[in-house]
Amino acid sequence: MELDNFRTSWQQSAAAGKSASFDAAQLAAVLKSQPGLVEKMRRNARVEMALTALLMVVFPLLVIRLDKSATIVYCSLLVLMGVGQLYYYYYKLGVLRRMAVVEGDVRSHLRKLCRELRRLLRFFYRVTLGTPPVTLLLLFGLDLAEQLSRPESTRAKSPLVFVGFLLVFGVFMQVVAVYGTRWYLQRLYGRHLDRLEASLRELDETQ
Amino acid sequence: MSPAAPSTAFVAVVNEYQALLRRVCRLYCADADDRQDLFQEMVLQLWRAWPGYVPQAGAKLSTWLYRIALNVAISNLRQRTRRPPPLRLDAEALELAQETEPAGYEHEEMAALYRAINRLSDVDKAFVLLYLEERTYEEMADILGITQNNVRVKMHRVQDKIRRLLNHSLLSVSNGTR
Repeated sequence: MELDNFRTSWQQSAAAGKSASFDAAQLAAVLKSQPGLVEKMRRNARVEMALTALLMVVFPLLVIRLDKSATIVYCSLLVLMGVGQLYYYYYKLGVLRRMAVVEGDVRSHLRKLCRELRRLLRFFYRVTLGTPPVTLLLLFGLDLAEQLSRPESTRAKSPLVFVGFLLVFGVFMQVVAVYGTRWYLQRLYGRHLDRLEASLRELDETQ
Repeated sequence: MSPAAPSTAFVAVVNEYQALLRRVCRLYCADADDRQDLFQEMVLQLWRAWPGYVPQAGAKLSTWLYRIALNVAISNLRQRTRRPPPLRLDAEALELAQETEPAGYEHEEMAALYRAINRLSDVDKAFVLLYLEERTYEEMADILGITQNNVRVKMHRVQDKIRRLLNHSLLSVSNGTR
C-alpha cells in the first residue's frame, strides 16, 4: 500500500470520526482547560515572583527591629539579591510570553522556540552559577563584620581558618552547582530542547 | 489566564475545521487522552491567535489553521510526558484500520501503514499529514516555511521511508516475527 492509496481512507476516516459541534459555552469550557507546559511555567514564574516580592516587603520589616548592625547589613544584601531575583523572573516571563505565541510557519516557530528556550536556560545557568560565590562573599562579610564588632580579646585568633573553610566550601558548592544545574536543566528542559532542535534541523537540512 | 467567551465567528471556525484539527491530533497522538489534550491546546492557541488573524487576498484560512495546529503538535511539550507504549498504538491502529478500511484492502496492510507513519519523526508526520490532506506543494511550503522545491525533495524522502518501513513491517508479519 502506498501513501496515495491511503488518502481516500484518510479522508473517509475523517468524515466518519467527525465530532459533534461546539456551542459557545462548550468551547469556553475547552478554552479553560489545563494549560500546556509553557503556560504552567509562566504561572509558576508569576507565583515565585509574587512570593519574592512579598518576602522583600516582609523581610525589611522584620530586620528593622534587630539591633545588630551586621545582621541588618546582611539582610539588606539579601533584599538586594531579591531584586536580582525579580529581574530574573521578569526576564523569564518575557521569554515565556514570546514562546507562547504559536503563529507563523512551522520552521520560524521552531527556530524561535529553540532560540528562546536556549536563551532562558543559559540565563538560568549563569544566575545559578553566580549565586554561590555571592552567597559566600556575603557570609565572609558577615563574619568579618561580626569579628570587628567584638572586643579585640574575643575575636577569632585565626580568621584565615574561616576564609579557608569558605574557600573549600565554595569550590565544593560551585562544583555541585555546575553539575547539579546541568543535570537539572537537562532533565527538565534538555530533552524538549533536543527534540525541538532535531525537528528544526530536519526542516533546515532540505534548505 | 482565563480566556474571554469565544465569539460566534470563532465558534463557527472551530466547528467547521474541527475534523481537520482532530486529524492532526490523530496523527500525532496514539492515546485518546493525549489526543483530547492536544486538541484543547490547539483550540486554545487558535483562540489566542484569532484576534491577530487578518484574512489576506489569496490566503486560505485553512493554511493559518494548519500552521497553528502543526506548531502546537510539533512543539507541544506536555504530551511527550505520557507517550503510550507502541503496543497500544498497534491495537489502536488496527482498530482504526478496521473502522475505516475501504473495500479490497487488508486490515493488516492499513495497520502497518499507520505503524509506519507513527515511526516517522514529527516533521515527517507533518509532510505526511499535508500530503494526505491534499494540500498543494505551494501550501505545504507556506505552512512549513520552506521552499516548494524542498517540499518536493522531502516528500520523496518521506514516501521512500514509509515504503521501507512498510516492506520491513509486512515482511515481519509474513515471517511471523512481529
